[in-house]
Parts: sequence; C-alpha cells; structure tokens
Amino acid sequence: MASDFLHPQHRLRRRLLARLAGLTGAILAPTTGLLAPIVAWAGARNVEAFDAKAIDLALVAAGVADAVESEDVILRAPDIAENSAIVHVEIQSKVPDTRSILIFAEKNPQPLVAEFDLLPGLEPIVAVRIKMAESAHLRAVVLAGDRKYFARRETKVTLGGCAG
Amino acid sequence: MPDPIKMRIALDGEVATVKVLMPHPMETGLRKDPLGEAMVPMHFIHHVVATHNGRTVLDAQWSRSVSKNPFLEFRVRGAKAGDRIGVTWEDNRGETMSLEVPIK
Repeated sequence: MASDFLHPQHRLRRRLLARLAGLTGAILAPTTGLLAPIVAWAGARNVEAFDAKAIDLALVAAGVADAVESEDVILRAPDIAENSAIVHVEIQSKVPDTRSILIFAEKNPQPLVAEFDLLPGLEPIVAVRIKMAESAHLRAVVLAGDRKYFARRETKVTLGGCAG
Repeated sequence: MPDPIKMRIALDGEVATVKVLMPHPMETGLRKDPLGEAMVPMHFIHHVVATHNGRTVLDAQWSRSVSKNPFLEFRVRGAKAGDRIGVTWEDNRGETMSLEVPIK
C-alpha cells in the first residue's frame, strides 16, 4: 500500500481526481475502494521524497530514478552563482503532454527543491529561485504520462551557505 | 504576517507570462539566531497554487530550499485581457496568502 502511494502516476492520478472531487467533497479512491475524504486545497505532497537526505534516495522516493536523460528537457541555470541563496533556475519541457516538473539540487541537505504539477492551460516552462548548499549538479525531471526524462547541469557557487 | 504577493503579467498574443514575488522569510531551520545560540525555527512556503479565471493551472510543492522572498514565473496560454490570474501560497505554519489580478 505504501509503495502504491509513492508511484508518481498513481500520485498524479490521485491528485487530479482529488481536484475534481473538490466539487463533491468525497471520492471513491480508484484502487483501494475506500472512501477517502478530500480537501480541495491539498495536492498530495510526497513527504518521503521531500524528506530524503541524499539524491539517490530522493530520486527513488519521487519515483524518477529510472528517468532517461533527454535534450527535450532544458535546464537553464548559471554556471557560476555569486550568491548561493539566490540561484535562478528555469526548466522548459519540449516533451508532449508534460504533467510535472521536478527540480533537485543534488548536494542540498534535502535534494528535492520543488515539484510543479502542470494542468491544462499552462505552458511547460517554469522559473524559480533556489538556495544551494554548495556547488553541485542541478537536475530537472519531467513526467509525461508514463515517460520520465531528465536534464542535469553543474552550478558552482562562490558564496557558501544554504541558510540565508 | 508577511507582505502581500506582488504579481506582474505580460500578455503576448494568447500567452500570459506571470512573474510573482511572495515576501516570506523561507527559514530553513538550519540558521542560528544572530543574537543567540538558538536556531531560527523552520518557516517556509510549502504549497503554491496558480489559477486562471479561478481554474487551477499550476500546483506546486516546495521545500525550504526555495529562496527567501520566493520568485516564481510561469506562462498561461489561452489568456486574454480581462482574464484573472490568481496565486495562493500556504506555509508550514498554515498561514496563507492570496492575490488575484486581471490581465490588462
């Protein structure tokens, strides 16, 4: 059961259903057959992936350890960031039907920085500013149906510290 | 309570580019209070939702690794002048803030 919840497609489906269910307040959960209460505001947070303290564990917990490197995922970030507390990162996907974009800073204490779930009407491009604990590879993962792709690039930081 | 959300929207054809600033300390819980030995408690935005005319288009989960006073940019298609773009955040203490503005 617990592993079911970690499967990204399963999570996404639950989330989409949860949004629909916001209208009615309750839904028959698709695989368990249990009546699950739904809070309209809450997208399900993958707590295990966000809490993971190493990149390999975070990738597994997020269900994207088997993603394939692809040029259709474009990760823009500085080669050298003067301030590690403000690193501008932009992720663009050219993968059709992109549903989610995840960003990891591989050497942060908890590498998963953000998950963006895209609903119809959103262009597959997001930008956000993040903190980096130290020079490291950044990794962007794109989920599109059953397909998973990633891009990776190194950003060096000259002023240390994730705390700011 | 943090300052209000700021949003700028640029409409190019049917695509609205939305830039959002969310004033918030985004404390990691890993920083010492400069006046003492105590750690500053963790306090960060963990959930952000963006809407187009009230319909959710972006649902984001964040960690404390997002920068202080978070900046977020996204693009909404099928947009036109007069449409409403909304952003709501919620932090780990359950505080929330929302802003909805029309596209000019």
